[in-house]
Amino acid sequence: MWQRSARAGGNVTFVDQIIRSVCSPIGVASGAIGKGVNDYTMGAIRASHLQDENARLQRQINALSMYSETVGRLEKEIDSLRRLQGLPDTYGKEKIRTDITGFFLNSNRLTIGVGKNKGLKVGMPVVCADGLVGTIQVVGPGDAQVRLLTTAGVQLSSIIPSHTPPGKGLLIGNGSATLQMSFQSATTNVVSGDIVTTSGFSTMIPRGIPIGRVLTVESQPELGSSRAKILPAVDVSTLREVVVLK
Amino acid sequence: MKERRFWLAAALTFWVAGGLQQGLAFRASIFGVEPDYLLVAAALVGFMGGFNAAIIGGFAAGLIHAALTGTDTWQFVGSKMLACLFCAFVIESRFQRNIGVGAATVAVATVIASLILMIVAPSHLMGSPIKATIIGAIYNGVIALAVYIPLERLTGTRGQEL
Repeated sequence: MWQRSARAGGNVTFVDQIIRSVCSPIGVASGAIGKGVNDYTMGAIRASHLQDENARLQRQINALSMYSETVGRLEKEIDSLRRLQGLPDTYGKEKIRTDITGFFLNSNRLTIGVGKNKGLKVGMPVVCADGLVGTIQVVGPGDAQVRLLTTAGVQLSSIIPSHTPPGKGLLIGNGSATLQMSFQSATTNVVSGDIVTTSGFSTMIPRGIPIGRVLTVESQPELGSSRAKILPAVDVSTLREVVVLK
Repeated sequence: MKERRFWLAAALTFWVAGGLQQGLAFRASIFGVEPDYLLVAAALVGFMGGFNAAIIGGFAAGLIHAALTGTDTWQFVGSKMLACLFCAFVIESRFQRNIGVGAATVAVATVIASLILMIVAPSHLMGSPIKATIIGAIYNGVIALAVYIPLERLTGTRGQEL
């Protein structure tokens, strides 16, 4: 009983409090020093192990980073393929699916894996699920070069179908990431966000293929025209497969 | 004058030992056994000062230790006083007072204090009391080796009787 009551103590009395307070400065200081020494010693003893563990974790982070990047890319690709699969047939053209075999962003062109063997001709439109990618520039026996819309000097008749009558303009590639669309009117009701599509004023390129979205509109009354900056609908860097409309 | 110096030095030693017991002891444990700085201080004070110093030192160390741990006062006071009395007995008998004997005395005092604690307050938490007692005795003896000379100089008892 006496032993149990001895252990059952633990009330902080006034005397206890005074003694603790008196010892506290040394206790706090020695505790801090002890912790520092302990951390340093354990760090020195386990340095090799920690280095190994650090390297292992770094490898895991790298692998995880690559994994999530791959998953993200594949998810986009799956999404693109799904949409490509359901590409509307209203263009009235035969669809020739093909892989991209070469990517030359500096010269604004792609190489695709079909050519004369599939009946491709210069000027045919190349599309993906998001819209128009470019047009065939050079056709080889088993491959073809695609000139992207952003290539400087590319000109394409285009419309803004949401307007009545549709706003017509000339789309011009200028070698940058955006396109320029010129309207033959100083006053236009085109606004930022309007969708731009192909006009169909061509035997090769059918009407209604999405090209991009209006970013900004600039009126030029002195020239009697206005122009808009267009953000292309297609992100070329993520493309793996395209469709040639024959 | 000498006595005043001795007691001032003893008080300073207990203050430092109490602080170390409060802040450092749990970090300095070896194989789960914490050093008992207060017991080392009290044992050495008893060893250097004789029976009176042993009784007062043991009481003070027990009181401080109990206050810091929040446990029953008398188990610590009793065990430390008896352990310190043993130290005083050693120095009052024909043993030479030197660092080796001092450290060995502190180690034996630790064993005595642990045995008394085992009797008056057995702990079911202690896995192997005998092993802990032996490790604790060696640990406290090593600490006594380190603090013996500085404490002897501080108390002014080097090479002379109190």
